Amino acid sequence: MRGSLQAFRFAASALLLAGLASSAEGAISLTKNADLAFGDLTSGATAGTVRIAPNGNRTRTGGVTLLASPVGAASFTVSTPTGSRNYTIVLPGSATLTSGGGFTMTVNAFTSTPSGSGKTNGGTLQQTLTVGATLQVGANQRPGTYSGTFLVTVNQN
Amino acid sequence: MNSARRRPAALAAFLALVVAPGAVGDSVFTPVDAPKSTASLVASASARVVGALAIQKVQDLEFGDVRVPGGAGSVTVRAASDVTAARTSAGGVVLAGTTFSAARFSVARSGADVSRVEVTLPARAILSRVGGGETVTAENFASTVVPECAQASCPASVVVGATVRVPASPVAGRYVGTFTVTVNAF
Repeated sequence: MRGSLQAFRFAASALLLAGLASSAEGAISLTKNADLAFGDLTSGATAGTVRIAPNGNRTRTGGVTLLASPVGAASFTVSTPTGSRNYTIVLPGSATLTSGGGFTMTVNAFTSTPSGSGKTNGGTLQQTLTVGATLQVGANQRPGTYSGTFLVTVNQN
Repeated sequence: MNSARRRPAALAAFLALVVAPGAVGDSVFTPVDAPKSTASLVASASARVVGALAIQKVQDLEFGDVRVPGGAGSVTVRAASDVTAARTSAGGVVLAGTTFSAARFSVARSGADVSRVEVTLPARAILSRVGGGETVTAENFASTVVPECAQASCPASVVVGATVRVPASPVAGRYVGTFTVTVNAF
């Protein structure tokens, strides 16, 4: 009787470890499909902006001229492997793009689809999250290739 | 004795939890595994600012001198990288003199190569006789883009040629006009 109880206890601890492992795998996760690309543009005598909408559309204001080039919103896949889950989205307030020559431009007004919060699909347990933003281009912004990074966070409720 | 009895009961509950996820899905797992979790990812953002495009006319389009002894015809200056490479006539037009040239524009942009250039040409242009109202028409505009080097910020040349339709027995004189070339460089 005593011997069989011991055997039971051993089996239970092994099973408990397996359960903890699945718990870590069950956390919400993000994978990146695409970066945010504002593409090619020229600056003018007045400042302007380039906006990439979450659907990838590019629009301009002010002294900016848009040149044909690959552009797109950032795209992520949100996964909640334990089931369809609600989650909230945290976007940065601003980010800085820097050129090789050390010149900078600010990116702000980040927007996403879904906006604010989302819910992973009941079948795939995933949802695509796309992020756009607005690039602030200075008057006579120095030519160059500008790049920078920004952080996207999702919180499972 | 009481505690020995309680233990197997707790173990049985564990077994139920572990067996269930495969068969039933997340609903059984939720009480154990409903933690708040967070994921963050860094993405990059990029943009390329290219300098304003500068287009400068280096050479006008000159069809040169022609005679028209034999009825209507045409004279064509080809858009070759050598602007004085090719002039031809057709119909009753006979070439005279040796001075002619395709038009040439220089295209430059700071911060970017201009190896890919898109040129928009007019469908036609009207040339009017200096000191009179007679006109001839230039058409069939064509262009050739000539890269000047393969580095960023280096200029390219756009060479433009066309054909002038000359009527039979035109009024002698110098005919001049203007045309607009639009260049987009990438």
